Amino acid sequence: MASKFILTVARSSVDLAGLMGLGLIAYAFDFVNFLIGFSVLVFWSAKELQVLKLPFILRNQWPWSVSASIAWAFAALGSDWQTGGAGSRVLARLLGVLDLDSGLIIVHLLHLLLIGLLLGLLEFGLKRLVRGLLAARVRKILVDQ
Amino acid sequence: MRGCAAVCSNALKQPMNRPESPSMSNSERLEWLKSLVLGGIATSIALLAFQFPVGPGPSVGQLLSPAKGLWSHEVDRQNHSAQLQAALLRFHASSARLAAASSEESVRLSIDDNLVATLVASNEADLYFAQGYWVATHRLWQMEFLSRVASGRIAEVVGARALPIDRFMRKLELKRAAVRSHELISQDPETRVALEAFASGVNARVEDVESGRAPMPTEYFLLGLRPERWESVNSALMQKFMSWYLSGRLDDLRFMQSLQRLGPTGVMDLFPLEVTEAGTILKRDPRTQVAQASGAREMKQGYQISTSGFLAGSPSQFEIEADDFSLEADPASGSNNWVVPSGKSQTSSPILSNDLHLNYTIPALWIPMRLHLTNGPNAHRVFGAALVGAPGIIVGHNEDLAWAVTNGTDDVLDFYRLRFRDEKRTEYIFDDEWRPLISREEKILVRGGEPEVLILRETHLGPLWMDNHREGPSAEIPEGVVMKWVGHEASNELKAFLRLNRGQSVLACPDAFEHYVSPAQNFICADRAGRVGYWKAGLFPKRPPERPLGDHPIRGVHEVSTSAETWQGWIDRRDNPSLYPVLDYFSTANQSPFPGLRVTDFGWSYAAPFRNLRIQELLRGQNRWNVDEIIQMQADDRHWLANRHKDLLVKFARGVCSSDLVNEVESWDGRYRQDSRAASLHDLWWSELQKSLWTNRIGAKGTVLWPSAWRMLQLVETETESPWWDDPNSSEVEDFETRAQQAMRSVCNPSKSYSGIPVWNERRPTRFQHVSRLPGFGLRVASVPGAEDTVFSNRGDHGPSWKMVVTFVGAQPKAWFNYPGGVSGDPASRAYDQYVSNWAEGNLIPAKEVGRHGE
Repeated sequence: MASKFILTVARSSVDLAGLMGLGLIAYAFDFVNFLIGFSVLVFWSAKELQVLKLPFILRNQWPWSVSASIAWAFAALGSDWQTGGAGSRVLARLLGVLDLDSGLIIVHLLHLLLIGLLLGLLEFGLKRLVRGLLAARVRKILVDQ
Repeated sequence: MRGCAAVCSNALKQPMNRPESPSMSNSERLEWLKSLVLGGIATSIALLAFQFPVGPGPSVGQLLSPAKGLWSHEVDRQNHSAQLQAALLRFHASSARLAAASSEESVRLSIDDNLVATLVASNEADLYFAQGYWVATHRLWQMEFLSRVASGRIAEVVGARALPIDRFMRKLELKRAAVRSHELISQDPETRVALEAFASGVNARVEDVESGRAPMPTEYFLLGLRPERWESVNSALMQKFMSWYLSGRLDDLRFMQSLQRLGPTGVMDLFPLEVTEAGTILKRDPRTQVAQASGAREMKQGYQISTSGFLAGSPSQFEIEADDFSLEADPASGSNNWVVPSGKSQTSSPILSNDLHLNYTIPALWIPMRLHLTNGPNAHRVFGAALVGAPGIIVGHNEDLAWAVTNGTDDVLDFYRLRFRDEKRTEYIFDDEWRPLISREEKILVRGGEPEVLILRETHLGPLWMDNHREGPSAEIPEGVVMKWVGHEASNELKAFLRLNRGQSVLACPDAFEHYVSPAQNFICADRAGRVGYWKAGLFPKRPPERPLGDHPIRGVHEVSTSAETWQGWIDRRDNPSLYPVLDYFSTANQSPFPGLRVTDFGWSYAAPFRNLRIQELLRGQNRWNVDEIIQMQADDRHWLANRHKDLLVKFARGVCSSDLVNEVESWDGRYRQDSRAASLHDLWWSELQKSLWTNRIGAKGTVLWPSAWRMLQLVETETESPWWDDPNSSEVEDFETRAQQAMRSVCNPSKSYSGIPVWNERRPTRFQHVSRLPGFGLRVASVPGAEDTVFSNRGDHGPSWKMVVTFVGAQPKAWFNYPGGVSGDPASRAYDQYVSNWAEGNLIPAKEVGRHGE
């Protein structure tokens, strides 16, 4: 029971660390860096690579796109707060939200959904690619033998 | 790939991925292929989506990046003072020419609770440098975009859809007029420093933005553009743009269309030239002292009018239309100003009121600020509205003087036809000699398209309009006419405004107006000593006495071949309408300046006097006034005409409209309130009446000129049997009663229900377009009262763009102001629309006092 609890805490810590790491990348660097970091994590967490017996800390509990989109959204929230809501104000205007105060929540929710959708799609695609590429690689090895 | 071998060998242990033989089964191949294709597609879509450009600017990833996208777009929390001081140091180090006029002392910048800046400097160079820097801090995009519009260069940023605007503006030759004015301003030591220092200030901000020391305005970021350097000629260009905006009217052309339909007799009746004192600014012609024209008789409610009439006067993201940007002066571009004299003011000083009516745009054309010059003979402290892109204050007050303006609505533009030697139109005859037409080519750059070469042709009289593309306002200008417009003259209005900024009494006003050319404006000046004066400022052409329609003032388009047929110089400024001292209530609202024929030397199509009559009605209804009452008066939404029409409205609505609506009209007070259906009914009925009367006879409004609302009023009240009421398409003989009933039926019949007539706010919603028509950055204001002809002159897309009340309490001037917009022009800023809700409620904001020298 205790070991299960410790495992849960450890894995949650990993999730949190991953989330914070991604959040920091999103907050401090251009989005391309974020996408590279995200892709590396997705790649190493692909099911096909789990046979490597990678340290369990890399085995997150939920898809990386969830952590990553939350991390991105929190980083955006932080930046937005620092600028006094400049970004959400512009986006709310572009979305045609008349009440800019309630617009703040709407904009950030929509933003989270959009980023989640895009990162989810990217994760799905990367994992499929890993599956296909690894399988092809394996076939080649067998043929060579 | 050391790890890959391990991966692969491990992978073999996984039943899912292990092929049973080197040659895979078809289903396995299909599975792998599916994985690769699906994975490739999904990954590509996701990556492309991040890289997908949002319009012409950044990609989705760049836009939403928390580190470098919109979220981190800091505009409000800048250290403005430090930025300005650093820029000023660079200015002092780099500007050798202006260094003599500037000093090492830094400019002090303070910002009050309303985000209005006070700029304090010991010399003019630093003061106007700081003004340029401050305005560019908040309005850089607006300044650049408007200067592009004025010089015909917006296709460069918008794309081919803006070509009609660029073609029109280039043919208009505003830029060349601005260059001539710029030379004049630059040669004048009184204005040169202000102009150049202002441009240096703007460019210092541009450098800060380019170098990353200051944030890039949102529009540049979204559109993927970089700010341009600001040339000092652009300030002259902005002034010329305002001049066109307020005086570039094509009424002469429309009148010619009306003349063709109606014939001379019809025109003489429907566009009469008599002007009575009913709503004129001055009761008499100040030069001749001739009283009002004869033939006036009392109307129902006691107003004097003449029986023969009254002459009333992104690329793809830009939602730009060919006729945007008011490429023709709007006849309704008016304003109100009035003054309560000292004797009737509770402050014992004059109370001066002003609201300037322009098309609603956000950001507004104005930016409020205080400029304090502490040293030298020109030391002054001035507060008011600055025009974005130009130094100084345009409307406002200083320690001793306050001034308020309304558009003159005069006629300073004529069209001529010339006789050309042949079809090639390379030479025209004038004063018995063949003169060459000057042609030149201009290249219009088009974003995302091929450049267009435009051939511009010029005569000694003005630009020749040829190769019209039949688009936007160009569509109305006939091929081959020459435009003669006062705005094309070299002028130095900046000198006039700078003199007003430091004027010490009302007498500074006529002195300043010696340098004022265009657009003609009605100025009311009031000073601390309680003196008040009125002057129509501007330069007016002296036209030849011969007129195409006898005494009729409307000039139309006619052929000229000698100097004697064109302008003969200028009317002596001393003959411009003026009144000094003003001792009683005094108001102007774009109406005719005085009664009598001589007024046609100045104009012939002034605004109907409804607003002015209501202002006078209100002013004369009270013996003493305080500031709060004047502020309330600015928000008055009672319609002078609707008050007169109420009985008619009830009479024609009864039995035709719903009984609830009739009841509402019966108890209606004539106010154009947001929730009033009676107001909508009046507006609909009056519009329908005019439309049904004139569309068949003359043509659709806009392409032809319809008789003024005042002439219409005469027909309704005193000429009910006039043949004009008869419908030429019907076999019956109609009179006013018949037509009025028909109009009411067509308004109420479609539904006959109470809710079939919308409330006024639905009939005429109030909207503010973004200056460059970027969707989302405009505003829709939920609830604003008023109509075009009420004191709160709100047409929905046009109305009070700057409101101000000034008085003097003891030695101190006190001012209140408001305008629909905010200090910042950046949609990311809190200050983008900070004043709008207050403005919509008719409130004014107390301005921080400018204080006095030595304080």
